[in-house]
This record gives sequence, C-alpha cells and structure tokens, in this order.
Amino acid sequence: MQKTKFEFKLTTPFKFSSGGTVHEAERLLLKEASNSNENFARMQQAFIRAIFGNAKKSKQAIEDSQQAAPEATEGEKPEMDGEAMYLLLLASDIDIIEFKKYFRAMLMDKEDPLCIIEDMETMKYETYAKMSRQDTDRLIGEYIANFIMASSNPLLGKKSAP
Amino acid sequence: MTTQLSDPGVEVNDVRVGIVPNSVEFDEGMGEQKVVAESAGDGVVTQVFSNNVETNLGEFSFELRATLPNIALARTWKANGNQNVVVITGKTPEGSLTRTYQQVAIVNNYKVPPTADGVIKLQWKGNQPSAS
Repeated sequence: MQKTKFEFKLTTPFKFSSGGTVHEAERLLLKEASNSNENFARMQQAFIRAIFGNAKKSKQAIEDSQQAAPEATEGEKPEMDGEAMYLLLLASDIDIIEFKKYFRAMLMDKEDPLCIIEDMETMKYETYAKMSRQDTDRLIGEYIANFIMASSNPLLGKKSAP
Repeated sequence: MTTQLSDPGVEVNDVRVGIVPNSVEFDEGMGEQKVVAESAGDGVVTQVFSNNVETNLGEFSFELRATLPNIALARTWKANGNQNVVVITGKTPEGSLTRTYQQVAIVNNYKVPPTADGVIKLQWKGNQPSAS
C-alpha cells in the first residue's frame, strides 16, 4: 500500500502558537495531497521535467529514476533521502524558486492542508517562514521522495507494487 | 540621533495582521507599584514599597479596519477566549523589540462600525509578556 503520511524531524526547532501558548516544534506530520490540491500536479510536472532535464538523456533518466526510487510503502523509508532529492532538483533546469512557491502553496492549501505541526496546528505562511533553510530544503526533498516520486513512477512506466 | 518606533508588526496565533497605523499600544505587564511613607517620629520617614500583583497582567490594544475578513478574524479571536498568542514586534535602526503575550483574550465588547472609515478597537488582556 502506498504511503499516505510520514513524519519529518526538524534539525532546527522553531516556535509556534497553539491553544494560547507558545510551543517548540520538533517534528512535522506530512500527508499526501488529495486530488483537489492543484499544486501537487505543478510539483509533479516540475519533478518530471527535472528528471528528464536534458531530452537527450531522457532514456537514461527514466532508467535511473526507476532504479533510484522504488515506491515507498507504509512504514518504509524511501531509498533516496531528502537532501539527495533536493540536490537532484538543484542540478536540473527547473526554476527552483517557482518550485518552492508551489511547494509552500501545496502544503498550505486551504481545503487540503498537508503539514501538521506537532499534531497541533496546521502549517501557516508565518510558521513556514520560521523553518530553517536547511530543514525547508530537506522537507521538499523528502516530500518528493515519499509522495511525488511514488505517484510518478507509474507514469514513468514502472508498475506500482501490488 | 535615534528613531521612534512607529511601525510595529502584530501576529495573532502565528498570522500576521494588518492594523491601523499608530493604533498599537502595549504595556509591559509589570503592574502598579506603590511607594508610601512610614513615619518613625522625630521627622524620620522611611519608605514602604508594595507591588500590586493584581495588576501584573499584560494589556495591549490595536485597531483593525472594519473589513469583512477582519471582522471574521476578530470574531474568531474573541471566541477563542484566552487561547490566543499575540506577538508584537518592532524594528528601528537601533535594534528590534519583541513582546510575546500568551493566553490573551479580547476583553472589550468591541464595536464594528460599518462606515467608510470604521475601525474595530480590540483591547486584550492576558499573561505578562516575555520580552526579547
């Protein structure tokens, strides 16, 4: 069964408000986007573009992506970690600034919020801005590894695990 | 030369709020103290200091424009009772200021004037602020 959520541990905790008091965030819960979350499709498209990058190498890229990213299942960690995945994006031709904007908008979708802080509050723009750059980059990478890559594998020609 | 702090930011429950300029007022929640005299006779007077802890609560106020989103926000905060956190921040060339008020409630029965220049004045009360 494909993963629907995963926990993300912050290396740099940040403060957030809940129930009238200030708390320290050390972990986030990330959920898979629903079908109504349009930014997921934008992320997926950008990711596929990053994989293909250079059209001449597309065949190799497909093979590489299939080998590097077996579909993550519930309770399992994806083989590629967040940092490696983020590095893959940086090395590609995609506009990383735009990509980050889509990612942030996807997490904070009003109908479908995807990030819960310490099981208490959904992520807001102001709390997102408090996350360290390193954690933000790693979070983007891990979200891709856990959800976007898994949902892209069938499109790349790999069959989902039974 | 120093610069007057005149453009503070207000965050309520981690959401930045647009406020009416020059409408923020806050106290340090350090309450009222009294200094009274005690006479020992022969012209000797000593001082008695007392701290009225009843007043050791944080209070502040600010105003919002009476727009529909702001009316909804104020209503939500009011309904939260004292389950709000408000952070007031300010920056000048000389440095920055942060006051964090926890467990604060809107204590006034605020009015919503549906007029062209209507503002909603919110008065808050809660724990003493932490400063940084």
